[in-house]
Amino acid sequence: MTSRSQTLSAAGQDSLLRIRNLSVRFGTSPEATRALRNVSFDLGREKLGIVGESGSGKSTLGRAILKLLPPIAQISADRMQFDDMDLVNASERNMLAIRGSRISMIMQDPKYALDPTMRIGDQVGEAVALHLKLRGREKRRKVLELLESVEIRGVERVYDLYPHQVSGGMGQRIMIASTLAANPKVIIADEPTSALDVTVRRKLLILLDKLVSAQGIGLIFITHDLNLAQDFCDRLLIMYSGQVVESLKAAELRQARHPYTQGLLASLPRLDLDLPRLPVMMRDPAWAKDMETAR
Amino acid sequence: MIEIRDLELTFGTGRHLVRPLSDLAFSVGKGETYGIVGESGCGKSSLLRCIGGMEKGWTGAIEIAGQPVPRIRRGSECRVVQMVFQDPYGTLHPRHTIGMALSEPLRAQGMERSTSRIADALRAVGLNPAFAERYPHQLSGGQRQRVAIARALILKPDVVLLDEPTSALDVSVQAEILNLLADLREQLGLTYILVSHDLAVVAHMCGRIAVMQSGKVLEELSASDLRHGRATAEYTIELIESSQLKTAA
Amino acid sequence: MLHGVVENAGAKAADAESRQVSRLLSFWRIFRTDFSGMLGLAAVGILIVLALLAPVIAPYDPYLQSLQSTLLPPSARHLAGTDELGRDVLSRMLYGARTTLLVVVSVSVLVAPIGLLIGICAGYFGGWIDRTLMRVVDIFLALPSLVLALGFVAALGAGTENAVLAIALTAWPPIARLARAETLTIRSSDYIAAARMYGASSFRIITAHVVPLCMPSIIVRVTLSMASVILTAAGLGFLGLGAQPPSAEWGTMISTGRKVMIDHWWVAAFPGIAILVTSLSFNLIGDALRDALDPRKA
Repeated sequence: MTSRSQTLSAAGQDSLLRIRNLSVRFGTSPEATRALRNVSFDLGREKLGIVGESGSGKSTLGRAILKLLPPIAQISADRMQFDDMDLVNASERNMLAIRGSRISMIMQDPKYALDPTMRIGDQVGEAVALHLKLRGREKRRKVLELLESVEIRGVERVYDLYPHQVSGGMGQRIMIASTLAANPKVIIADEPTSALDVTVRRKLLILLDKLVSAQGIGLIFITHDLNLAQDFCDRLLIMYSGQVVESLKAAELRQARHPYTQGLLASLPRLDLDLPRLPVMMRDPAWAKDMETAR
Repeated sequence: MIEIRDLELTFGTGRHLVRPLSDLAFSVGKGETYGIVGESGCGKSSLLRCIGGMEKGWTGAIEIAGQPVPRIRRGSECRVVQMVFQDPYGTLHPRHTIGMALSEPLRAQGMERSTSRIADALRAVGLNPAFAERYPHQLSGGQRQRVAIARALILKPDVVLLDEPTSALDVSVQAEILNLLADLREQLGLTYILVSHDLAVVAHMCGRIAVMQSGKVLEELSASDLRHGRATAEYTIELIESSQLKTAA
Repeated sequence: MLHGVVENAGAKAADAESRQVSRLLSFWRIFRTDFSGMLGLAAVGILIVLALLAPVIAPYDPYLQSLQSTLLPPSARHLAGTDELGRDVLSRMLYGARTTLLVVVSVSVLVAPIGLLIGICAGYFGGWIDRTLMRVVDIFLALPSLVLALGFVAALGAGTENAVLAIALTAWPPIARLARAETLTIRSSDYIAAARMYGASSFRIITAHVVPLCMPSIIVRVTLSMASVILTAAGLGFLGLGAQPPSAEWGTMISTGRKVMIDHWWVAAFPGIAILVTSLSFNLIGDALRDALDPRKA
């Protein structure tokens, strides 16, 4: 387990988020579903990919950090530290201050995240007013500046549009713009590009990459797409049935050691390789057993 | 097997005229898998709906197995083309058992409906015949997609239209479904038209691929053209580059 | 058993039956946990039993007049007092329950299939069929239902049967609206597209695919509308256009009791309470049904 402890602290001293043995179960009974089991990692000023299939707990992890799970969920952790704040024992009031302003979230589909009855400018303006306490003309100026920073052309025109008048890619840019209003230190992006076309996706990822490195933001990028995660992220956590089964540098994904990661990689059709048949993964029940906990 | 000439689809009139498809022509041989790629709104779903007989407003000619297909199909004219849809959760009627989902097509075509026939159909897609008693909500996404394939194949069609059949599935399940589709094509001599936004999937399954943009076929490539990026149209090149990612550059 | 299964052997049919039973059981398990729904169900159950047993348990003949004992207050002999003709109010209420339930059941039986058929046809076929049918629905909805019912009864003549017809004529449009809305969402789903591709007839798609999915919301809607049916029936009775005077009907009873209400409250109050409790109970059942039939819970 040496590689594991190494990658855990890959971010070194400069970690924004430090999580140890985070577990989530739905319900209190012994047979309650354990959605997360002893997940530990550090997040620095980097792009951390969390990769897994449906039901692996990847989305639960994103929500657990912000304590955005339904009341039935029991969250426990040895440590969940953001900057110098302890998130495990933080009150709902403290979480409200953290959510959206220090740690932000970008959802999969902008269609549902934007209020259909509000103009784009007013929606971004709401975030600006809330976090930066700006009013009137200054608020408008800041909104336009934010929209420009996400590379939207014709910001004056976009300001007055309603959400149904913009494309999916533009909607996601607008979401990012209102996220940036608060100058967050950490952004959790849950499948932010899976509703988008590939060409739009690429442009959005390039933008996200630029913003994250320019502002020193720590990005948690949740996705089911291995290729995408490998290409975009610095480090990857591979999740299977609520546990992190492997943690590695994105560049080293092809050298993955866990059979699950290897199986996932092999079963992907590839553009650069002509295979007569796709290898189908045989799941080993042992993968779902509890692994030794990280210290 | 499939011959399409001058296909055009229009809705509305005058100022409200929209033309999702225009000047489409291609042909697909028996046993071939023809891929169609393009981004949302390029007309690939409309094209499938025309071939599948769900649109009436098209002009031009669609021939399947040497027979021109009419705009409105009745009875046995429906049998030759079947379709597998994208969303495994919407593809099956929530209150019908799997057995009923499979017997309904047989009833519609006046074919014999026996338990053994349904059991065979389930076995052919790698499911236990006992699944006939279950409801869709008791099945996983991959299992539902298998049932959808069984439903399409139970009428012994010549052509199966595949509309993003695996894009809602996990990669490991996607591999199983793609292998199943390839096996069935070999065994039954089926002809597929596969629509997908995933170039890797299309390159894996298809011999020839049409790239569509705003209702037209931009260019036709072979799978190896696609793999080696030998495209002429600017849009196709951008599409291939985007799919290969390399965002960090 | 609207949706039959592969008709092959008796064993198959038995399987289908046991599936239906298990679905009913799971529905009942959810419904049982709803306290107010159970309360409503109990009240309606008791009402049905009382109505059925009215000839047995009613202490007096509801039509028996006794001019010596008019307008007696509630006492041990007359638990709910007597009216201005000396008839026992309790007995009349028990017989009145029969009329009320009869009206409710007949209206529901008439209205549900009509509304379902019109709504589904409009939603499924669309185009001019949809436009024509929905304009008719709009016209009916534009008029207040009591006024419309009044008009019909005035034209057809007063009486319980005509009241049923009139109420039914005013009660179907909301159900047709609902069925149409449900059909529109169902129609665009992939399983309907698949059914059309394998050549299923429109009749088969409607009966085997659309109707089973519309039924839960229609059942809820009909149950909820039962309350307003009771009120409309009572209203017609009160205005003298429903059940005719000698016959026992709650609305008619209130109407006759109105003249003496200030000094002899029991004549109008007891039927009034009966109307309130019954319509409330149907509403409670409807709410509980809506929760229990929610497909997300099934």
